[in-house]
Parts: sequence; C-alpha cells; structure tokens
Amino acid sequence: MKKLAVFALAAACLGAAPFVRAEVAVGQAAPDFTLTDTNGKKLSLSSFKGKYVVLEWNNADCPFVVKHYASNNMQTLQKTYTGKGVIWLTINSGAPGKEGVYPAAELNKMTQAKGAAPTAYLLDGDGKVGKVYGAKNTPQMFVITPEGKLAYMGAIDSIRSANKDDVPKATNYVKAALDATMEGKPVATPVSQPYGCSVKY
Amino acid sequence: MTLPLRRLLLALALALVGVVSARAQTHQGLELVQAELVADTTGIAPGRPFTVGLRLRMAKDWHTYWKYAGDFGLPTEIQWDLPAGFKAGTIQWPLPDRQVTGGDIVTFGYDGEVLLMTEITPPANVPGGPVTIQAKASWLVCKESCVPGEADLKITLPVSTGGAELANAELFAKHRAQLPRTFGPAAGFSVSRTIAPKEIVFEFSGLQPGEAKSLDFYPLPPDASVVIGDPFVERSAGSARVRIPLQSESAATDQITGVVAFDRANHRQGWQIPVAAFAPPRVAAAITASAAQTQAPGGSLFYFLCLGFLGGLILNVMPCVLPVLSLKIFSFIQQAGEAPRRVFRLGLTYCAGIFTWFLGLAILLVALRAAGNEVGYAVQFQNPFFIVGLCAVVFVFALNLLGVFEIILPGEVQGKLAGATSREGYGGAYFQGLLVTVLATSCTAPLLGAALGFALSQPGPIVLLMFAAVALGMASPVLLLTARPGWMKYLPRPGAWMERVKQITGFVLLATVLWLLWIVGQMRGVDAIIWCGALLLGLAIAAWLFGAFVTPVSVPSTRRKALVAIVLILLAVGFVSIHEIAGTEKAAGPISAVSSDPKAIAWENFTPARLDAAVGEGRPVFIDFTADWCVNCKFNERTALETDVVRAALRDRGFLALKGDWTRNDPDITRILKKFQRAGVPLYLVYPAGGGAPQVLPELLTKQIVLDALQAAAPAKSNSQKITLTERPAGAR
Repeated sequence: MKKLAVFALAAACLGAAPFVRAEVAVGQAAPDFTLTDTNGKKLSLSSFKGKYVVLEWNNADCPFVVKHYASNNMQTLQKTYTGKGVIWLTINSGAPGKEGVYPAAELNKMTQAKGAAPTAYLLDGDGKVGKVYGAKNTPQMFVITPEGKLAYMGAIDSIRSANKDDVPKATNYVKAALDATMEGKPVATPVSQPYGCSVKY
Repeated sequence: MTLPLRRLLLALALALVGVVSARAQTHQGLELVQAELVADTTGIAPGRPFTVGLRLRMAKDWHTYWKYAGDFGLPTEIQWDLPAGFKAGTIQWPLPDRQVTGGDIVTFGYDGEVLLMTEITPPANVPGGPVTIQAKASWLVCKESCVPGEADLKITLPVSTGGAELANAELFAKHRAQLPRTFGPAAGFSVSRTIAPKEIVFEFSGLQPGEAKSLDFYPLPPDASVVIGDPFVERSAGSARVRIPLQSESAATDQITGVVAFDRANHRQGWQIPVAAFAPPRVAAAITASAAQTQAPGGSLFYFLCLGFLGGLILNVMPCVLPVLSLKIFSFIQQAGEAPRRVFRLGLTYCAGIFTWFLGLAILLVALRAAGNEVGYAVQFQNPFFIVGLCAVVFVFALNLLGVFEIILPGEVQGKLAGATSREGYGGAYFQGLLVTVLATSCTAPLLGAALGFALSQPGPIVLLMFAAVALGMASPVLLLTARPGWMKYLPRPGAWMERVKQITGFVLLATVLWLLWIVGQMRGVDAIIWCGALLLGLAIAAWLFGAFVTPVSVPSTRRKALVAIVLILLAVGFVSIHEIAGTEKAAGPISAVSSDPKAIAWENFTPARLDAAVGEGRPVFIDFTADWCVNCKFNERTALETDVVRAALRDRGFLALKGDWTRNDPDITRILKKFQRAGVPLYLVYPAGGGAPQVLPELLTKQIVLDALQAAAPAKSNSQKITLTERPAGAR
C-alpha cells in the first residue's frame, strides 16, 4: 500500500510535466496563431480558411534544410503549389542569437537569392507557435485543409539524410498529401517521423 | 621458433604493414570528429571472425547518434569495402546516452567517444600478404548545429595462421561492456508492454531501487510507418514505466521494442528487449497447439477458461491424484446403493468440497499477490507446515478407513444405527471432495499450468473465474455420474467386500503419508521426519481413544474422560512436534540427489548468471525446473530425460544441462515460471545454439518430444542427422 502511494506520488510529480502540450493530430483542427512576417505584417492562420495551407519550419543553416534548397526541391514545391492557390508559410522558431536566425531584411535577401517562393516568412522568435505544433525539426512540414484540419504532419520526404542526391529517389510526403486531399482521396502517409536539425528554441 | 621471437617479428611486421589511417572532420576551424578503424586482433587468421571497430572521437559537447536517433540526428553508417570472400556483420551499437535540448527535444547518441563494432569473417583461404579493409563511414555530428561528416577509412592487417593475438583489448573490452545483451529470463527483472491507442507503455518490475532510479529506455520503432514521440520514464522503488506517445496508426505498432539500461553493480548495463518477449510462449503440446491455431495469440478469456476446465478434468487421472482416486471410486460404489436424489445431493456436496478448495486457494492467492508476494499455484507445497498438516489429515483419514475410529456426525447418528451400513454422509462427501483436490495441487496437470499462469497475471475476479473453471473440470465426472445414477449400474454392487476395499484404500493413504514424509525430510532433514512421525503417533493414539471410548453407546463419564485425554494428547504432541519441526534448519545443499550413474546427465545448478553466460557464449541450454514434491517432474525425469537417447543427444550436441530446484521457494525460479505464464513446475526450456528465444516443452514429456526440441535447437554438425526413436538400434532401450 505504501509502495503504491509512493509510486502514485512520483508518477503525479513527474508525469504531469511533459504532457501539457495542446494536441496536434491529423484530422483535428490545426491550432490558430498570429505571427509577424519579415515585412512586418501580422498574419493569422484563421484568415486563410478555405485555402490549403502548408507550414514549413526553417533554419537556413541546417544541413537538412540546405539539402532541400540546394536541390531546388523546396522552391519547386513552393512555386508549384502557391501557383494552385496554396498558402505556403515558412516559419522560423529559432530564438534570437541562435543558428539560422537573422534580421528580417537579411532573411528576405536570402529568400530572394535562393529563388524561394513562400507566401510569407514568419518569425516565431519566442518559439510559441513551434511548441504548440510540436515542431522539433527543420525542416518539419504540416499540411492544413481548407476546413482548417491537419491532413499531414512530419518529414518532407521518405529518405532521412542530409544528402541532396537522395531527393529524387525519395517519396515526397508533402506533395503526396496535397495531391491526395485536393483530389478528395485519403492521404497514404498522414504522419511520418520528421528528420533534420533541432529547432533552436 | 620460440614464442618471444615470433612475437618480436610480428611486432615488426605490424610496424611495417599495420597501417591505421585516421581522419579528422573539421568545421569552421574546429576539429569535430576524429574517425579511425581499429581491430581487435594483430593479424587475420583464415576463417576466424574478428572485430573491426569504427572509433569516433567527438569534440566536447558534440554528439553522434545511435541506430534510432530520436527527435533529430541520423544514425552513423558504415559501408564496407572488403576483399573477396570477406563478410561483414551488422553494427553492434553500444548503449547510447539521452540528450535533451531546447526543453523537450530528445536524442539518443554518444558523447566523447564511441566504438561501433562490426564482426568481419574472413574466408577459409586467405592469400598471403597483408589484407586491407576499407570502409566509408558517414555520420551526423551535432551540438547546437548539425554537421554531416564522412570519411574513407582503411586498416591493413597481416595474415597470420596461428600467431594472431588480441589487440586494443582495453578499448574493445570497455565498449563491449556497453553492448546490450538480449533480454531473457536470466536478466533478473521482468518486462511487460501495453499498447493503447495513443501510447505504448513498457513496464519493468523486479528491479532493485538503485536500478529503477538509474533506468532509461531507448526505443526502436520497426520502420518508418511507426511514428513515436519521446519516451518518458516514471521511476519508483522497484519498477519503472516507460511511456512512449504514438503519433501514427500503424499495423507495425506491436513491433516497437527497445533497449533498457540501468546501473547494476556500479556498472551501466543494457538489455535489448526482443519483440518475442511479448508473444505468448510457444507450447509444444499437441492439444494447445491445435487449440491455439484457432485462437488469437495470447488467447481470449474463454479459451483459457476452457483450458482450465480441461486441466481440471485431466486432474482426475494424474499420477498425484491416483493414490486417492480409489477413494472416490469407493464412494461411488457406496452411493450406487442409495436413492438417486440423495446420490445427486451427495455428488453436489462432493463438488462443493472441490469448489471450496479451489476458490479458497484463489482468494488466498489474490490476497497474497496483493500483499506483493510472488506466489505460484503449488506454492503451498513449499511450506513444511502445510506438508505436515496434510500428512496429519491424510493419516487420520487412513486410520478412519482402517476402522480405528468412526466419525459420526450429529443427525447422522440415527441413520447410522438403523442402516447398519457404512454410509458416507454429506460431511464425508464434502471432505472427500476437499481432500482429493488438495492432493491434486501437488502437480500441475498439462494445460492447467498455462491456464493458471495466465490467471495469476490477471485481475482478481478473473483469477476466481479461472479457478472455478478448474474446479468445474475436476468435478464434472462426479456431477455427471451422480446426476445420471443410471450409469452407476455399470459400477459393482455394494456388499461386504466394500469394507475390504475401504481398508485397502486406507493403506493407499498410508503410502501417500510416506511420500509426504519424504518431502518433509527433503525440506527439513531426518529430525523433522521423526517429529512428524511423533505427531502422527499422537494422532493415532487420540484416534484410537476416540474410536474405543467415544461412541454413542459408551458411558457418558468414560466419554468425557476420553475426550479430555484426547485434547491433552493432541495439544501436547501437537505443540512439541510443531515446535521441534520449526526448530529444524533448512536442509543444506542441493535437494535433488545427484545421480552417481556415470552416464547420467551432467546437471549443473541453475542460476541466472550461469544461463546468461551460456546463452552469451551461444551454447544451447536445456533447463529442467523441478521440485521433489512434483510427481510429474520425477516421472518425466525417469521416463524421458534420464534415458540413453536423451543423455546422448544432450552430450553430443553440446548442451548445457541446468536444473532449477523449486522444492523450496526460490525467487529466481518463481520469476521465470511467471514469465513463461506457468504457475508451477515442471517447466522445460530449450535455448537454441547461437542465442534466441527458448522453446517451451509440454509438461508431460516423451523421449521424442525432447529429441525433436534438442534437434531443432542445436542441429547436428553433420547433415541430415535427425534422430528418431525408430532409427535407434533395437535393444538400445
């Protein structure tokens, strides 16, 4: 009995801490947020209701992010789907002074230099949105339906490496999820284990 | 050539050809990782496997990653480029550390230095001259930032046909000690797994407080379809729970396993938990096998209740019930002469006795388990006082049957005098039912073990249900015969000969007393037998006094004096003998006598460490868990195990034969029985050569069952040498 009590107490003390995160799950509503973009404009997720939204966690100096930009993979996706009316939000949840965190003007220059085409590049310096979504990696991807529900969360593709030669060989989960939902089909891989660098909270 | 000279030449040769190339990964002027290949030998001996390690030394606070990296990171990879005929095994990963960054981003990797070992097997013929082994290693090294690194490495070793010696012994020993072992019964703790819709929970129990405190878990999802969150460990005094959130819905969720590690004997040790650890044990018995085919693995409650019923039914014909089975037959014969209604009511009373025992046992087990004890079904046979008590009860029954005294229950007196026949009343029927079942628990019948083992791991109400199923199985023949007394006509007519049968049954019970006394002696030595004998003598005198002077026809004053004398004798003898038996020490040394027969199996005493060591060496192991009071065990040992063919098979196939004696409650063995969902002995395990999950043999063995299992576990060196009984020369028996 005493043993049980001690166990219950220990479980209560330790158990509570790491499980206080809002539930982000495929099929559930994507948590709303408002962030400022690199042009100083405030954007809310809820304002894009009725459109497909892609969230891309970014850190330009992470080798895994470099893999998908140096191979032109990310830019191609951005251009293809924004061309179809998809809202593409690149989010940087790095804390000030951490790797991959630059002044807004610098980030705009980098975006232009790479030929990237997101709808907006959002700054989440205090990491609030990143933590709500449970984003732990760069890159880490989310696909949200026009109804505001999560359709996909996880890695950008199926080959977990930092080698850009792997990009053409991999299955792109973001593309697959967008194509399937747009055709009203179920998403074959709605969740995958993301890979990459850590988000620098 | 003398040995020192040979060593000197070898050293010289090494200095010339033993080139070890190391590579350093530098990033922004900082040396992040130094990579090199090292071998555990000074030279390659043809055909003999050796180990090459990729040694990575990381700059301070930088990490490389384990085979499952966690929230970010990538496992290190090695691509071997080997000379023709050489084969490389898979990477042996030492235990990782858990790194936590940014609050709750968790990775599993290495700090400081790691040696990723791979076994290389050279062909039987290696051309002379030095051999170069090349590998392309690639890794991800992270601190705050991550930097991928790779290196082309090589190591050159001379070919030596006898002069090869160990190299880098200290380095390899240090990292080999960090390799997880395969979890098995010898690990000394148990693990269970629960899969819920949103999380998977691993529960470790049977740990020391320090072990639980230092416990960590490194998960291994089977493939990309399984997406998991970070494992969270809840530690308590002797156990730990590891909760892992599940983020995907996948059919492969039940393939999630991992490596558990904790400090034991001031040393961090790890065990890889095989997925098979959560599968029900393979039971080779034909009946369970065929039943299992139609049932989901693990078995539904209904299936186990059926097993319990079957087991109870079989209990009626098991060797340990045999001595008293005649007692039951005798009571049928007696009842056949009576009114059908009364017969059925007697039958019901008899069954009530059976149910009383089983349900009482179940309640006791549930209560004891709640008290935190590891108890098994036959555990009462490990308590000498239980045996002494049983001895006394059986002995008194024998005296009664032999006519030393009669028990006349109130209300039965009239009928007894009028009928003038030896009737068994309701009380008699009830206690017969009770006695027969008490004796039946000394051995777990086939199936019953598995069924009760299952029950013991279940919540209280299910345990009760389970035991009720067993009781029903055991009672059903009696119920059937008493409900349809018509079938009793096949039984012999009652008559004067019944008195003889009754007396003979008395002698059978006396033989049972001898067996029980032998157990007492095995547990507590000669003195305990003598004192138990003294107790029986006292009981005999008391019974005789009762029979001679306490009858319905004796004078009331005589009856009173006799009753006083009986009470005094019982108190005195009971107190002295129980006191003396309590004072006897536990018998020293191994209980099961080691046979002096030179051909006998070379049994070694079972210890978890011995089993671990043998399995670690890849040696096949046969384990016999037995107890002196287990008649089935003795029967199996005599008819199946200690036979020429099985002895030869064990010897020729290089088996280590271990015997675990459960006569006295051994907690290590209790744990293993529980792990294999058995409540009692016998339990036979066959560990295959080269490691792997053991095969569980049925509780009733035949030579062929044992031979087949040995054959499967350690195939003979020469081809197609399946041993069967028919192939043996006649007369070898």
